[in-house]
Amino acid sequence: MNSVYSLSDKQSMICVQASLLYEALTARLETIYDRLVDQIEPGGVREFENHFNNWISVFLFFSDQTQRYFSPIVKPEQSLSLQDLNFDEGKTCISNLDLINELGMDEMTVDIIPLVQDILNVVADEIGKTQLIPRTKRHLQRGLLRLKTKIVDYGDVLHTITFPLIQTSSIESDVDARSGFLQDQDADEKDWVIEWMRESLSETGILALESILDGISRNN
Amino acid sequence: MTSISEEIKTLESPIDVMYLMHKAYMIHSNRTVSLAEKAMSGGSLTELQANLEGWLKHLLYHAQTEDIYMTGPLKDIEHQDGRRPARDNEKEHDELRLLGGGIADYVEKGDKGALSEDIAALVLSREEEEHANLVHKAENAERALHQALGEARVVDRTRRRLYQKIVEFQVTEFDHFENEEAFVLPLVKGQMSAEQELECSRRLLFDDDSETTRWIIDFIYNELESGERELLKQLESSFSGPAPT
Ligand SMILES: [Fe+2]
Ligand SMILES: [Fe+2]
Repeated sequence: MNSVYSLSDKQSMICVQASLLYEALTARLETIYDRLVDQIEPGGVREFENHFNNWISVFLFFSDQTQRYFSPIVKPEQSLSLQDLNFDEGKTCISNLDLINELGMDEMTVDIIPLVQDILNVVADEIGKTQLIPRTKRHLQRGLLRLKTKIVDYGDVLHTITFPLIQTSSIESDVDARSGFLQDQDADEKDWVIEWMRESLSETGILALESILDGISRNN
Repeated sequence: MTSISEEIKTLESPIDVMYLMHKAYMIHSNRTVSLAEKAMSGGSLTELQANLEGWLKHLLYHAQTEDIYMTGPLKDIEHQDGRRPARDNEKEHDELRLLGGGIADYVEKGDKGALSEDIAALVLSREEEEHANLVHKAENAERALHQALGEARVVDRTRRRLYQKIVEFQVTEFDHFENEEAFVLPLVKGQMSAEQELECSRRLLFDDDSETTRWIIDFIYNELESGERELLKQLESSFSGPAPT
């Protein structure tokens, strides 16, 4: 099998893994949304809840990992305020680092958790009901749409601002090459997220995933 | 509740015209949501804007007329769960006005709408700084974000958020229609005389203050199926013409 991502690539291994996990999260959220809108959820609220709870677990893992791996890089020693930013009259000279810190974009969970909670609240009101009534469906759709929008916005920032920043930092090192970003070191089943990704990614995504896992295992 | 996929077969009472009207409005809302969805993948904004304007124009007139001629004269009751149908209905109208107005403002901002909104939120969250200074710096941050994301992503972000806002508006609207049908219509039928009810229905369908008094009823006719149009025609024939002002 040809490697889609190899260790000789300039790309950071952590970024590639984060990017794939992000891709799996958005793809799965899209599926949950489509199933709800097209009303092909035969199990009603309970079925929805199962899929969504799995998604939340992976999302929380993703959030923890990005905090753990990215924060030391994207967080400066002291937090900046708009006052401290180096502005030049007439032209923009805010660095990616300043921008991320200024807009609070490295703390995605802060914005996203309330949206997840809103959806869980709708589900909680419906516990015990097997049928999804139109009103509940509407409220779930609204909640999921808010969540999707926020996550896609975040993905833009991740790909255009955060990753380039990480790639130019000192993380392209031995640590990066051997990083187990996708492994849950605190769980008995360390690869549970990887398994979930295999079920959620497109064929191309899975190829990329296997390739990078292969590269990491050869380095360890 | 009114369903787009089910044909309305009878009107038991003049105020039941509400079912026909809500159905027509729901069809129009769905169409607008579809246009907003297409706009996310590059579809034109012109048709979307026209549909959105129509939606707002109808809903504003409808809500205003209901406040004056429907819930206005009603003696409110209080349900066990605290719901007061007439007053709650008027509050829901206020919420719709607020959401609708917000969308209209957002559309006016054009393709940078989402960024302007993000930066405005940032300014609001930093109360401690001197305002003018903050706005100036926030504008710089907006420029930097624009530059980092690139034109295409900024447009995508704005349209994504427009779609979200329109769906949110639709959800609030459909919830409202459902509440009104379940809680307000029974009060109307219980408290209003036949003449009052007929006059309320007529006001909902005809704009006496407009040069084109029929702009509402003609729109409703256009959206309905033939059997439903027949029901509306029968109701229309029972109006004796515009009331003296
Ligand atoms: Fe109404
Ligand atoms: Fe209403």
